[in-house]
Amino acid sequence: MRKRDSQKQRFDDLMANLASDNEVSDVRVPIHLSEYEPIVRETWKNCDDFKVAMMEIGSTKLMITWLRGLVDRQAMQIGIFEPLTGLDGSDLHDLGQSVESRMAAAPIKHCATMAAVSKSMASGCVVIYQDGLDSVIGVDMNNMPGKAIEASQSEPVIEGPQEAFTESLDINVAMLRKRFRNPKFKVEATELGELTRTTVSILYVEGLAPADLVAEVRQRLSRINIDAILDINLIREMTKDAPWSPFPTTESTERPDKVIAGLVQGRIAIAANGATHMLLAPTLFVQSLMASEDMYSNFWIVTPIRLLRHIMFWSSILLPSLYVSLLSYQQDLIPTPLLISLIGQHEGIPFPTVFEAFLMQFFFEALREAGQRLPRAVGQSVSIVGGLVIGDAAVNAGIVSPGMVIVVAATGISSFTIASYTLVNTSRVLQFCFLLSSGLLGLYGVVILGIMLTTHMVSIRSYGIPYMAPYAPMVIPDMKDSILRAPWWLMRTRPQIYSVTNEVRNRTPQPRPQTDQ
Amino acid sequence: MRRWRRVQIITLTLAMTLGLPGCTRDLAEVDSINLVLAFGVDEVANMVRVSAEIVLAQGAQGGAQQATGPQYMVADATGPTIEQAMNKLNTQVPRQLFLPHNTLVIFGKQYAEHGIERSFDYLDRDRNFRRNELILVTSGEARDLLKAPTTPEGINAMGLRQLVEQYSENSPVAMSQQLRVIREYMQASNAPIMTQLDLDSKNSPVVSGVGIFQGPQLVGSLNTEQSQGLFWMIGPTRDIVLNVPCQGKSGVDIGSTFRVLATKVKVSPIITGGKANIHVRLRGKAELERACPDLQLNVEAMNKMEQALNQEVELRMRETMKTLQDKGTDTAQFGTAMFQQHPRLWRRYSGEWDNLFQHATVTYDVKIHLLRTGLSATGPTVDYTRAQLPPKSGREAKVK
Repeated sequence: MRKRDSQKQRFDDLMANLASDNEVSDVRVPIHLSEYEPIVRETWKNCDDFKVAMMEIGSTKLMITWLRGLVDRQAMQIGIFEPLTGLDGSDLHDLGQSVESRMAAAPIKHCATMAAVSKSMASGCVVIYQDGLDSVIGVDMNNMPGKAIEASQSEPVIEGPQEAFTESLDINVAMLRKRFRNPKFKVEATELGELTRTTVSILYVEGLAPADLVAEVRQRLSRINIDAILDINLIREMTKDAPWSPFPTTESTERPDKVIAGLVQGRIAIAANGATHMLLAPTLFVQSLMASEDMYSNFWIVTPIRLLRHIMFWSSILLPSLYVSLLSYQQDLIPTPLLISLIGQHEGIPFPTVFEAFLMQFFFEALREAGQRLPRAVGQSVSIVGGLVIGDAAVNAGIVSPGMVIVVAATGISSFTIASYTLVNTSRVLQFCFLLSSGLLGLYGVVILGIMLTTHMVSIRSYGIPYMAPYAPMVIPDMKDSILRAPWWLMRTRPQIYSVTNEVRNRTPQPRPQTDQ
Repeated sequence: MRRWRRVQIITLTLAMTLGLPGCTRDLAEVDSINLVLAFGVDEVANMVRVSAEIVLAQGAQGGAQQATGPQYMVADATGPTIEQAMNKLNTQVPRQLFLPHNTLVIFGKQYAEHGIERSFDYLDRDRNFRRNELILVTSGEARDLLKAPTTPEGINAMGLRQLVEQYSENSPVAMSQQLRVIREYMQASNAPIMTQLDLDSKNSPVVSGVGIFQGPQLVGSLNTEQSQGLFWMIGPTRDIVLNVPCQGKSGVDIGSTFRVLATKVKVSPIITGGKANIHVRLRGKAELERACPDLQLNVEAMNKMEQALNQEVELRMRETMKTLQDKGTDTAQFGTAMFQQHPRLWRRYSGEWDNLFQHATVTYDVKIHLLRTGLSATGPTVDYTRAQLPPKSGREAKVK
């Protein structure tokens, strides 16, 4: 009776500990099954996927627990149940009373505390408790559900690697390791998210990434204290240098080749389990307007294309506001024939230009959002309806002027050319700010906001690196891969702005035909 | 706490920018302005009449609706000053007058004869006007010129400007922009040049030469031929086509035609013994557009033609100069040349320059080089014989 009371007491303490979220790490695995079983059952109560098998080998009782769906059933059959059923009590005695050596499955880990037991079960282990031992073995039978490796959706290339990351960190790291066969490629793991316990890894190349940068990343990650990490964007927002800035000061990518390219530049990648994207840091503004294809295609075309993207980025921010300020305030800046045709277009339009612009931009954004939220098959009909309604009917009905439709369409197209989706969203936000200020103050407002924006852009940093480098500050050697893209045989050094330990990356001489001796 | 303060300061600063004397007051939608492309200034019964040409922009919506009817209207108002007349226009025509796109200011004869300098201050001072607007003069009323159609150009002001631009291809002087005219007015010669537009017998506007001014007052005009003589004396010219009659042959559409490709001029005025001597040195290049019928082109013939061309150019300049000296207006800008080359001499004689100019001896040195004969060396019909003989150049020794 007293014994049962004390047991009850211990159990209650344990549950209290669990409830108070103070972790069960200090609770060691009990020696007797009679104590162990209720704890486990209570911990995993109301969990339908929690499965238990009780076995008896000779006089030894075994309790085997796992989570259905996370483990490979066939492997469990071959690796655990078959060897165990072949044993009898005397065998077990000979084996030093442990079933461990008879397991045909590979990675086995020992869990000494109840917290470790829960954790290993949640990560796809089959946990075997043997009565009389104070540690539990977890056999890794992990068969986590997940989707297969697919081609990159958000950063497609025509020529170049197609693979994209999956939601599984292990597979993602493997995809990187496949491309980077060198022990200098380091993967430091830590766990974030008090409830989800998501594995978050810091990836870097030893000897390239500056040690203080690695330390800085570690330190920033260690400050994260949140219940759940669902996507890499949480980490991005919680480790940002300028938390209020609309600009992405870290680059997110779903392409393994892009991560490798970043790592060999001396940058650092941050990956989280469950996220299809990895973060690259530090990141410069120019990098948001680069596509991975830039490095896989002819350098002659890349520089003009990058220039185009920069122009398009600024047009996507400024076009509507410039149009509004020219039409509502500074009509004297428009060439006369154009002004005459604009006046003609605007004849009979009931709204002021700025309202018209807001209306059109609003509907355009609504259409874009609708297309994004709907299933792909329906998305097409949205664009047809939207195109007809906004493009044609609104003009015919005399609600908006054709010029405004052109400007909004041009703005939309400009924003589609931006390689980084995060930066697209930045431009979508800024565009409305500019529109508002141009509606209030005309070109003067655009200039004022432009000055503020430029000031902001040159003052923010990404992990200590100035965001607008290599232009502000000017780092001439780094210009080789900014708006300009030099041919590969000229890119001899790594970007200086990251202050990498080892600068030279390429010793290939300029290619030339071999001369006959 | 400090951060909150910062946010407050930033918000306050942003809010204060709204109060700055920005453009908010200037907010005007494009469909609430009257785009003025040209205005005419006439003097009528001791009052100034301003006729503004306002564009009637045709709606482009609906697609199918094509532009019909006039694309502009001319509204006029009379007042004691240009500005007052302008302001009066605002009370007569709905929508605000919008002047920054104004490209033409046309002065009617009467206003110009009484002095255009009265309007200079307004044109130069008002922030709405651009200094590249053309200042033109007409021998009739500016309003009539603005009302005349300039087919195929739908908007009269655009058509007029186009006419002047085409005319100014011969000489930049014809492009009488406000900045240039006011500058010319203030130069030593004190004789601005303005292109003159008039209505022809079919009531459509044509360039009729240049108006010549004695100071601010219009005193007469040079027709297009006389204007060519003036252009050669003032500065570089381009592409002036010149017809010289053939010796011994006359008739309709006969003569040799030259295209004077480019000329440069150097004017050297000097005052000796109380008399002005002005030497005009003209150098240029020309090509043959048409030769006299049956002319065999050889070195001698080319030299003769060159001579004839030079004489013709000199004659034109002499005629123009005679007109100018008769009127006593130094439109050829000799006074300015005098001031630029001999400023001290100019200061001494500037008071009596009008008199000196009227009796000045002008000498000419014209050398225009005939560069080429166009695409054919001889005329296409020179070698024709009824007997169908081969060309002369090939048969001289063999066939008679």
